[in-house]
Amino acid sequence: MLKRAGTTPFVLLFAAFANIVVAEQASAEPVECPAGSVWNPQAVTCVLKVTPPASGITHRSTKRESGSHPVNSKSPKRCVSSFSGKEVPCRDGSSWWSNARDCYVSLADPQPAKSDPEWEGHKTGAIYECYSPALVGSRMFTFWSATAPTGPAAPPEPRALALRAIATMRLRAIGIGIVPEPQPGSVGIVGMPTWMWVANPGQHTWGPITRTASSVGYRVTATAKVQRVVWAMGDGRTVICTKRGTPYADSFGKRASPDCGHIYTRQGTYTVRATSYWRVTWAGIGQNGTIPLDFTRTAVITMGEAQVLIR
Amino acid sequence: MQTRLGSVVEFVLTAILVVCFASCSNPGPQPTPLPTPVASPVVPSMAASPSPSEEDVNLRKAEGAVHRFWRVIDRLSADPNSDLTELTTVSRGSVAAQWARNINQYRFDGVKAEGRVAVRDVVAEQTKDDDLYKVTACIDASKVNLVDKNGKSVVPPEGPRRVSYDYTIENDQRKWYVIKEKVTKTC
Repeated sequence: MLKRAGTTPFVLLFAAFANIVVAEQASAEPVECPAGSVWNPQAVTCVLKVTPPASGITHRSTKRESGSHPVNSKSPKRCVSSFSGKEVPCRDGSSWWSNARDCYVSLADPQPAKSDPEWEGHKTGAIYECYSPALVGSRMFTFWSATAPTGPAAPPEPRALALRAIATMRLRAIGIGIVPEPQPGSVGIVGMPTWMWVANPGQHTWGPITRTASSVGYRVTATAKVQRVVWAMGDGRTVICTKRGTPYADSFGKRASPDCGHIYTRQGTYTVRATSYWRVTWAGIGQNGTIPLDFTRTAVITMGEAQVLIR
Repeated sequence: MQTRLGSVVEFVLTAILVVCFASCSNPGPQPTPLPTPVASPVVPSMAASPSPSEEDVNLRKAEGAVHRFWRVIDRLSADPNSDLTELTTVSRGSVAAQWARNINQYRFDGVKAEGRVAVRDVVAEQTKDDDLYKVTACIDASKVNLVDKNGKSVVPPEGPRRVSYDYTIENDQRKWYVIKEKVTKTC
C-alpha cells in the first residue's frame, strides 16, 4: 500500500513508480501502472487503486439473503499431511486438500435431505465428504460445516462469485413513466387517474438478466429480475405494482390504469419514489441462493384542482 | 365549484374550466385537464441542413459526458471544502470511488488543484449495448498544477502531461455517466 507522504506526497509517489511510467515523448508511448494502482493525470503519477468491496454493489439491500456463506478465511499456501509430514497435491480431481482436516474435501453431491442426521440439526451450511488416500484403509466419511473448509486449492466462495456476476449486470433503478409528467408546466388534476409505468424497460432496469462469473475453473451463474415496484406517491400512500405498468396514451382518456395507477385527492407538489425490488437467484459450486436488491428513482409531479364556473 | 370526476364532460360545453393551483390569479403553468401528455407542436424548419440523427445526438452527449466529468473533477480538486458527492452526478461505480479517493488524498495531503484539464480529440462510438458508449480522449493536464498550502507545486516535473483515456459512458434515462476509465498512452 502506498504511504502518505509528508509535504511532497506526489513526488514520492511518483518516485515509487518512475520506473514504470514512461516519460512524455513526441510519439505515443503506452502508459501503464503497476498492479493495484491507476494513473492520475492531475498528479502525474500512479496512485493507489480503489478496490470495490467484495460485493461490488453500492446499493442498499433491505432483506436477508439466503444461501449465503462467509468467505473462506486465509489459508496456508502449502498442502501438508500431518500423518507423513510431507507435502501432498492440493487437488485430487474435484476435491481439495484441507490441512485442518488432514483429508481431501469435496461437497457431497447430492446433498442429503435436511432431515438426515448428517446435518446435526443445522439448516444452513453443507455436507462435505472427506478422504485421505495416504492412509491405508482410509475411508470416506462425511461431516457438516457452516462454511466450505479452507485449503490452498479450495473453490472460491460461491456467493462472492455470484456478487461478481451481479456487478457485471449494471442493474439500476427503473425509469419513471408517469402522467402527469414530471416536468415544468405539466399539472395533473386532483381526482383524475395518475398512471405509472416503467419507462423504457430493459434488462438492466427490469430483467431478466443472467451473468456468469468464474474463478479458478469454478462458475456461478446469477439471474436477476424485478419482482415488484413500490411507488411511494408522496401523499403518504404507496402503490405496489408487480407488472411494469401501462404507458399512458391519449386514447385512454380519463380511464384508470389497468395495472399501476393512483388518484391524488389533494393538490400539491409530490415527490414520487419508485423503488424496484430485484430478486437474484444464483447457483454454482454445488450451492445456490438468492440475493435481494433494490434501487430507487424519484420524480416530482404537480397536482392541481379543477374548478368549473357556470355562467 | 369543484366537480366530481364523472361529471366533468357534462360541464364542458357550458362551463369554463379553470384550473387553479396555488392561485387563480397567478398566470402560472397551464394545467393538463386530463392525464393526457401534450405533444410538442411541429414547427416547420426552414433550415437547409438536416437535423442530426438521434444516434449523432447521443454520440455528442457521450462526448459531453467526458467534458462534464473533468469539469467536476477540476472544481472539486480546486476546492477543499466542496462536496465530493457531486462526483456521482457524472460518474458511477469504481470511477466515482477512485476520484473520491484521489481528491480525498489531495485534501489529506493539504494540496489542491489549480488550472483546468483540457479534454481534446474526443471521439465517441456506440457499443453493442444500447446504453453504453466508448469514448476516447486526450486528457491534457499540462495547465494543471497541484500546489500545497504554500503554493509550491507537488507535481513531479517528469512524466506525461497528456495521456489518452478510453472511457465507457453509460446513458441512464438521458443522464450520462463515466463508468470506466483506462489510461492507454501518451498523446
